[in-house]
Amino acid sequence: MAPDETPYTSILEAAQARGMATGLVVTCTMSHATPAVFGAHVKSRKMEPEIAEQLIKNRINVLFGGGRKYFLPKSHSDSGRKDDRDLLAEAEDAGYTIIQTANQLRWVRGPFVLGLFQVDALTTLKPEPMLAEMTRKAIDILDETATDSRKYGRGFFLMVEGSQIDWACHANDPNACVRQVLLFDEAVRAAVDFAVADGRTLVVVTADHETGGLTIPEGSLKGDKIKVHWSTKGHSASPVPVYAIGPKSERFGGVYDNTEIPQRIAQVLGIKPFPQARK
Amino acid sequence: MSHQRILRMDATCAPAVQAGDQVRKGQNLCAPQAEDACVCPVTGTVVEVRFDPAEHEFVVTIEPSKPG
Repeated sequence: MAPDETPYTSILEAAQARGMATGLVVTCTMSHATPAVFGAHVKSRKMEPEIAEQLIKNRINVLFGGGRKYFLPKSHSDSGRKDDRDLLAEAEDAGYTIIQTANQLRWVRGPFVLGLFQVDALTTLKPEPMLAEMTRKAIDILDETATDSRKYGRGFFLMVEGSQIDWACHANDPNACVRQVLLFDEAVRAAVDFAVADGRTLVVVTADHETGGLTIPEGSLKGDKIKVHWSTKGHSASPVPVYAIGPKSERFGGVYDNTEIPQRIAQVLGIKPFPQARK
Repeated sequence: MSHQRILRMDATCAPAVQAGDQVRKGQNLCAPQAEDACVCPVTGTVVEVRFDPAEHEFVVTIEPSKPG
């Protein structure tokens, strides 16, 4: 959404309009800021109940994360809503399969799956499914949907976020930071393994910003300890890397504003014009 | 009854104070480069600064030097 509140089509919505199956996988609440950017249009990140409604309404095929409370009516003890809407029931009526456990995740099939594995954000601990498991399953469902469905027959777009790397860095917690990065790294491996085997899939790995200004002034790979230094508890202006593998991955090289990343994805997919105001 | 004041600031910017700091009414509690100031409503002592991931905000708790 622009500052004048004009909604703009997200890259996920543009891919969906192109005939691609779509998915969002996160470890925060499903209606947190990053997934909202891809699947909703609201004035404030704090509007999580409204974001949850839009994610369902926008018929994103796969939604995996936490934040069940924003999908439950206020009469429910776990609810984070101020109204009586039961979005789980609404999603089921709309064709979604609703799941809440790692075991259900193993067996679920598409084409529409809503997996909310915690009332609030995920703990990223067992028995929840790990980010890599959710990523592998999302890819399986989306690939199958894209293969079997005429409506979604042009491949798939999936956004996976290691949501809690940012949180660990805001807390200046190096152990949590390393653990969250490793969990994300396993998810990246899941995506890259699929892309390498498939040969037609582009994987782009990046961040929307750095947090904490982390540096390592002392220590070595041979030692068992390192010294870390945080320069802030907030976001920093440090450049972030962009890694890409797969068809046309060379288009993601160089130094540029991160708002260009969805534009470059749109170019690769032949989507134009992009960005454009939402009708 | 606690007279502590609780302030919230978006975590995009960093808090310019930490637990134990003395703060004055009207002082900006955000880092200087922050787009939006977070103005301290009372004179007192910072008791706690913590990150709230759900809201992506820092929560600053201040004990006023003059309760009320």
